Order: sequence, then structure tokens, then C-alpha cells
Amino acid sequence: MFFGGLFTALTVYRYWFPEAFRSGSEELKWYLGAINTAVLLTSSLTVALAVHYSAEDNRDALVRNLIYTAVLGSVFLGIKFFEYYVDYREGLIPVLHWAPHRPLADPQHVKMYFVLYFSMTGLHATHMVIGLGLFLWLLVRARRGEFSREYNTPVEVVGLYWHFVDVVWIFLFPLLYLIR
Amino acid sequence: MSEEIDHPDPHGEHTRTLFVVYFWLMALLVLTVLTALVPWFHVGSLNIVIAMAIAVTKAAMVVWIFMHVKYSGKLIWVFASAAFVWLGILLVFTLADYMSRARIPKSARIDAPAALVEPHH
Repeated sequence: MFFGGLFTALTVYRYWFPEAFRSGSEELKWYLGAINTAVLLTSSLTVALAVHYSAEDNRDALVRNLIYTAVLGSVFLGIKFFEYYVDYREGLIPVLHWAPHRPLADPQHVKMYFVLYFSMTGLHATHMVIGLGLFLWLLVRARRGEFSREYNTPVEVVGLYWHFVDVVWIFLFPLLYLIR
Repeated sequence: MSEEIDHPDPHGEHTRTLFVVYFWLMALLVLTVLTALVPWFHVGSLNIVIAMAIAVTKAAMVVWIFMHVKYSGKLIWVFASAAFVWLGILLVFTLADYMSRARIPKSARIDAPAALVEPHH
């Protein structure tokens, strides 16, 4: 529901200013968003595998998949922050540095698009950072052999959280990057 | 698929399901990009419907298999769906307002603040 309000705002504003939102979306590098979607979907797989192996008493495979997930999550954030950096260079960050290089048709509402873009991807990235912290915590506990068939609840719960973050991105990618 | 070879387990079937779902998620990601960016696919306002249909399919696969709702009880199904029902209410009612505003003729519009100031007797 936290994201729900933002998705609703995005829908309403896009309905009101379709042209401005399209030109805003075209300023983004869609291929970076696509790569990040692939990275995040892959990390969802490694999390699902980690949960699976934690329930199988397979400590090595659990630890391995937790590491894969943490690495993939870091790659996602790395690409995301690179994108923010490119946006900054192109003057596309409202408040911080708003000076678009290309003349925009309806600059006020393109700005509106970018406010929503940064709010939504920023909130999502915050969830990712929290998730990474949780995975490092799980990694330490998993290496100590604290999880077993009888007790793997923390792995399950963090796994669910990570999948949720993935589901949010599944909607963010087409709604922000692919407005044409 | 090295996981399966390294660690043969009695439930190898489940690992295979996870990889199959992953394959379909990637295929749908390619379809997402194609339908949005290749001009041949452009069908005007229907594009957003296609994009959302694909996104919903992807999300459903993650929720159903990765979050193992499929293997849980009916009560979990109810709770998992409930979140989307609330989100649906939020979206539908909000859009019912915004999308219908332009369709209502000016003469038929009710000026809410004025109605509050001067209630009808």
C-alpha cells in the first residue's frame, strides 16, 4: 500500500499528461532498466533456491545462493545508481539539478514525471538496501549452521520480502521506462 | 542447473519447477520490451493493457511459485489476494473520479464547496 499510493498517483498523472510522461520516459535508458529487471528476476530465483535448500538442510547450497542473491542485489543497485548519475549529468533530477539538455515540450509536467520516477525507484532502492542488509545477516547465521529443516523461518520471511520487492519492480519497469 | 547436479535430492522436482518459472519470467521480460518498443506492436491505447497483462502474469508467477502460495493453505490464498483487491479498490475508485470529470457537462456538476456553504432546505 506504501507503493500503492505512488502507483495511483503515477496512473492519474499519466492519464492527465500522456505526452509529457512519454517524453520523460523516453529520456531514460530503457536497456538499463531491462538489464536490471533481468538481474532482479535472477536474484528472485536464487532466493527461491536458498529457501528451498534451507529446508533441505543443505548448508553449502544455502550459503552459495545467499551470496549469489547479495551479489545480484548489489549489481542492481550499482546499475541503478549509475542511472541516477547519468540523470544528474543530463540535468534530469528535479530540485537537485534540473536543466534538461534537450528542449522538452511540456517541461513542467516532464518534471512531474521525474519527481514520481525518483520517488518510486528511490523507495524501491531503499527496500533493496534493507534487503541486502538482511541477506548479510542471514549469511552470517547460515554459515554458523543455524538453519535447518526444523527452523528456517528467517530465510523464508526475508525470501518473501525480497520477492515482494521484485514484484514491485516488475510493475515499475514497464510503467516508468516503457511509456511510448 | 549445476545446483541439481551437485546436490541430487529427493525433491529435485521442485528445483526444476523454479528454473522453469525463471525461464518463463525471462521470456516474458523479452516480450515486455518487444511489445513496448517495436513499432510493429503498436496498437495505440491497447499497449498499456498488453504491458499490464504481461506484468500481472510475471507477478502472479513470482507470487504463486517463488513465494510458494501454491503450496500453502486456502487462507494464505485469501490473504495473498486481499492486498491486490485493496490496491484494485484504490485504483478503480480514484480513476472513476478522474476519468469521468471531463465527461460530465458543466451544468450538471455539483460545486461541492458551495453546497457545503449553502445547504439546500
